[in-house]
Amino acid sequence: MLDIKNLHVNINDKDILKSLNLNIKPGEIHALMGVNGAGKSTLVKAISAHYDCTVNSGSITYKTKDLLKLDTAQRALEGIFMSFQNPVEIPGVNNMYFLKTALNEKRKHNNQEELNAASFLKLIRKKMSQFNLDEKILKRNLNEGFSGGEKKRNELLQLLVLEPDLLLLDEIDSGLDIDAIKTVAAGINSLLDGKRSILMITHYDRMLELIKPDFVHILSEGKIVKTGDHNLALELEKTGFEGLGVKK
Amino acid sequence: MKLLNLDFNSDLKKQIKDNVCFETLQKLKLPNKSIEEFKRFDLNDIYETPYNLNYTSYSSIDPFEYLKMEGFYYIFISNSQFLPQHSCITEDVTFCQHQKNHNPSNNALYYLSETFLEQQNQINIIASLDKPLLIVNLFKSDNSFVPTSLNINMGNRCKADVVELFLSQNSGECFLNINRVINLKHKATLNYTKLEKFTSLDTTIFNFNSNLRKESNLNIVNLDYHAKKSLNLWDFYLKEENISLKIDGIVNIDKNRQGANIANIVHEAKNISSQFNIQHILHDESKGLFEVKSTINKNAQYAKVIQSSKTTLLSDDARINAQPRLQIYTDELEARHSATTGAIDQEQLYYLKSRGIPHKKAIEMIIESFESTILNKIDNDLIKEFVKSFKGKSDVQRVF
Repeated sequence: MLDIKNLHVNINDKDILKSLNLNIKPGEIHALMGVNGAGKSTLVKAISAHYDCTVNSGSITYKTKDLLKLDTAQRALEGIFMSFQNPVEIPGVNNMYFLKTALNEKRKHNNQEELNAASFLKLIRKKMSQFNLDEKILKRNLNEGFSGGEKKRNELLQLLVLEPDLLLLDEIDSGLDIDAIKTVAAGINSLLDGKRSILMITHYDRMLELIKPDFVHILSEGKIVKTGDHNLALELEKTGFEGLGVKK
Repeated sequence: MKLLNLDFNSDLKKQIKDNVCFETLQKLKLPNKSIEEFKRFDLNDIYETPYNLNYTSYSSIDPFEYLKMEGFYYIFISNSQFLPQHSCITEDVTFCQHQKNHNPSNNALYYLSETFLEQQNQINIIASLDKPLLIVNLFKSDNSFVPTSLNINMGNRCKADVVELFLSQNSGECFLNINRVINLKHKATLNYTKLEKFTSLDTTIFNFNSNLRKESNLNIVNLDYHAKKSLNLWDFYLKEENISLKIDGIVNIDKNRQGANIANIVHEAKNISSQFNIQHILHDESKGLFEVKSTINKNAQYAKVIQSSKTTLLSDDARINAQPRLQIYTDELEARHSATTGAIDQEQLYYLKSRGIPHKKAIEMIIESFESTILNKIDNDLIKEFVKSFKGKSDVQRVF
């Protein structure tokens, strides 16, 4: 699904990713761990064409397409969804209007009929009731005045509505209490159908207990320096990065 | 410098001469070229353009029938003439033409229309209205100077929601000099929304003047989108206690359009509140001007005065000149002013695009969000919906 080869990315003329390689097949769950500043967030930003990131060399192939030739919106329409670590607030943009616009753009891209307001409301109510999400957030402006937990629940709601093929989860567990983590994890797991893939960044094993990864990668100084299965995360939990010989 | 290069016919010249209009015109102190260039708002072309004074009457207003809105009272005015057969009002509203009654103003352009008009239009609201009042102003002329004037008068303790719509089907370059005087008696409240669809060749100058009595409330939402050049001159002399004045506006213009708000607000009595808040959204090579002077004199203790200019520049060539100014001669008051300028927030834009919303649509959504902060100042839901639907119908297609 996603094949990254020899990727070099810089931000503000500073090299962040240096010759990074990663291959994610359909249905696989990959976890990305590493010390602060290792380049984890830069990787997901580069995959979703963040304006800060400059790709100097290398390639990203997504479903046989050259991803680097697509802009942010086109990548999203092709099925890439990045869950933000700190979702941005947009006062004045109604959350329901935003969700309906995003969904209809995707449906239009997939040559499906756009949903009218009534059909959309029916769909979203069904999704929200499945995971006990409060309908009040639909009436509010996009992330405006949301608590940290509400913002992450709103990210989950977007995931459920847009049903992407590749989920990039940048610390989706941060700022959540244990019950909220369970809700978010249940929502994400409900999307896993053996074809969707996940690349998730987390600092904690707790999330990996709830969304079991097939691969755990450790990123250091812009490269993947270790790859293993869930046991690597457990070992990391015990010994820390230094115990694994990873430079801080 | 010529004041106005009007193409008078001989009868009109005689008439103007008889009325000593030329002399009056000569006495007007219109803004001069150097001042306007300094403000990046050049009015010079309106002095140089050879306008005429020919207006066409609408033979039919069928194309505007859709504006006879259910849930509204409405009055139609075509080139300054009331159209009683197309109006629907209650007995608490009257309209008529009156002899001129000069309101004192510091604004020379206010007197320009007064000089040319023999009579003033008046709308009188004598009791609170159960429905909003829509005033539709239709203009149809060709390379003309169009002076127009309307006084809106409200009785004691009356409350009304009024939306005034300006629709132009002018051809050629026209200059519309539009006077609006709002007279509110004791404890009256007027919520006034101004909406326009001028042509891209129209130059419009709105001269707002008022006479606000004790404990009256005037709330204005002013929406400027279309004219080639749109200048609002606000002249408020607040001399009675407990007056509340709020002006919220949008200047959302593209190409080489210009939009300006110049205000002079004088506070002369206790407990006056005035707020002046404009949101500029400037595309392409458009220019905005915000020049607001609030004077709080010695007797105006406990005033609350706010001035705010917020600007989003959507192009490297767009310009804003923001000058909020406070002149304070009393100790007991709350006053603040601000002027912010920036581009579209890249992180907001990225967030919307990351959900598959194309660049152009994402920018439109963010611009709509700026506008909604102003549109939400309209209390009346019917007017709010009317403005949104009218805007939707008439929005110019912008290129990003």
